[in-house]
Formats: sequence, C-alpha cells, structure tokens
Amino acid sequence: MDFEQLKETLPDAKPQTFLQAILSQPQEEDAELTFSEEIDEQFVENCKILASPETISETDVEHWRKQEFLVVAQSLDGDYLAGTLEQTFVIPSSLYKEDIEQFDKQLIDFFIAYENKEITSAILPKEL
Amino acid sequence: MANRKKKPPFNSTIMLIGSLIILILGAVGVKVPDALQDLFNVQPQTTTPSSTPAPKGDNPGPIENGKATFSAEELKDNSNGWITYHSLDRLKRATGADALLKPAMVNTGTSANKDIRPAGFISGKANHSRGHLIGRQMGGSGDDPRNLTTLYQNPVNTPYMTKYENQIRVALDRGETVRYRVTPVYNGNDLLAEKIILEAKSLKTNSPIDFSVTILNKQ
Repeated sequence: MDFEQLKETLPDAKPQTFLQAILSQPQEEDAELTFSEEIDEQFVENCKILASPETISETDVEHWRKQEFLVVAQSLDGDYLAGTLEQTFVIPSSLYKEDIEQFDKQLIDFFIAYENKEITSAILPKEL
Repeated sequence: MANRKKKPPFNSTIMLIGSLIILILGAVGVKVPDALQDLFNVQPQTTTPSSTPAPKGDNPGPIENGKATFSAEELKDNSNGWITYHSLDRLKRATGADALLKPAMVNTGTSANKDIRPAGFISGKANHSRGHLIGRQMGGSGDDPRNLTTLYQNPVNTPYMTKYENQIRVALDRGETVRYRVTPVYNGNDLLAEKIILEAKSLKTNSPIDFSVTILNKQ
C-alpha cells in the first residue's frame, strides 16, 4: 500500500478517516496487519475480559476517545495499532499498559515511517 | 395467526431415550451430528467452560482442568530460566514447548518473523494468528518455527490464551519462577491444532499459579 499517496487524499487527521481510506483500498491477502472496523469493538471487549490493574481499562479507552482514539488494525501476532488525532499506539495483545509503545505521529505518518523502516518497535514485525 | 407447536417426530418414550443417549455421548466427548441433536431437540454438554465469557462464535471458552501435573523432576529449579521447543513433526507442525520462566525473561521474546508461516496458516483475514506457544512477553521466540502454530486470532490467541499468559506475567512480576508447558493437540493430519493445553505452576509455595487449561482452537 502506498501510504505517501494515501496521505494526499486524507481530509483530516481523524483515525476513522484514515481507516476508511485504508479500507477503500484492496488489502493484500498475506498482509502482516489486518485493518477492520470490527477490531476496535473486539479490543474493547478484550479490555473487559482481560481486566486487571495492569491492563487497559474501559475507563482508559473512554478517556482516550476524547482524542478520537480508534483501534484500526491487528497484527498476525494479535497486537493492536491504534491512533488518536496526534499519536499512534502499538498495544500488545496482553493489553499491559506499561508495555504500550507510543509514537508522536498521526497514523498515516506512522505507517509511512514504518514502511520506510524508521520505526523501532519491540512488538511489531520489523517490516510490513 | 396462532403459533403452531412443533410436533415431535417420535413418541415421548423414544424422544426421552434418544435425548439421554445424546447427552451421554456428549458427556464422554463424542461429537453428535447436529441433525440428530435437532431431531431430539437437545444440545449435549461436553465441556466445563471457565468463567471467561464466550464471544460470538461457538467456542465454549477455556476449559479448566484443575492443577498442573508436573513431576517433581520437572519442577526442579535452575538459577537461569530456560525454554525448550519441541521438534516440528513430519507435517512441520509445532508440537510443544516447555519453559522455566524467570522474572528477567519478561518481554525478552521477539515478535513473529514475517517470513514464517506456520502449518495451516492462511491469512489474518481468515482470523488466523501466528500464535507463539511461549508468548513474546515471557521470552518466547518469534523467529523459531517450533514456537509458532496457527491459532484462531479471536477468541483463541486473544483473549483466551492471553488471559492465562497475563496471570503468569503477574506472578513473574512478583518475582516468582514459573514452570510452563504449552502443547498443541492435532486431530490426525489436520494442520491446525484441535486444541491447545497450557500448564503452569509457580515454584513459590501458595502461589495461585497452578493450573492446566484446554483451549479449543475454534472460532
């Protein structure tokens, strides 16, 4: 997927806009990341099932929603990619808060950097 | 229009006997064809699901088998933790992994190598995950095919398997040492495991970590 080109088409920085733009493109069958509108719902459900003092709570998610927080993708290993208006989060499937990786980039800029191998993550595969 | 009550196809004695046979077969783990279950209007109860709620599919949720069954020899401590991956079988399927987990091993694992596709893996769109046997957060490798098996992403890999991995993580963060074993179980030559069995026991006396749990690999 050409994220540089996709960026030109985005009217705003909302994660929902980014996700819709991604979903309007054909997805590769063997992609490392699965983009879907359902992943956010599954994420919230898993927050309930895995609830503990160490993991992301529904209250955390509600708070982040004020910044348009949305989970947009899941890796083949079960980890999540989420964004707000200004940041991108790589969230491990454990939902451990202390293990979340935070990047001061909008989703589209994060993916451009990831594709260019400029992102260092202990959670995500080294390349798309 | 009045609702018409569905009339049973047999008399009540035959219906009762049929229902009992289905329930008994279900209790001993025999898969009864759906058509027969419908005919006798009964659903066999084959498992004892844990308190974890089942998502939308027909996975009953983790089945808790009681305590782990490690031998005294298997519970011997070692100043260093270790992980042993069992050999791939002739179908290149992961067959299991054993570990002695130490706190220092937390988050030392690696994410799965994009060039590795475990047996039976189709795609993320097929709800497949490249599941670590020993999870990354416990030091499991994503670069060793012996540690990767195809699991349904939701609900098997996460949240079901993750739920138990997180319990172990809590114990490790408390400074405990945990003996751990993960065993995928295959049905014949099927490339996807039918189920996965997790066993964990803390070496600390009175730790709550002492369990064996079976998770069916179905959506």
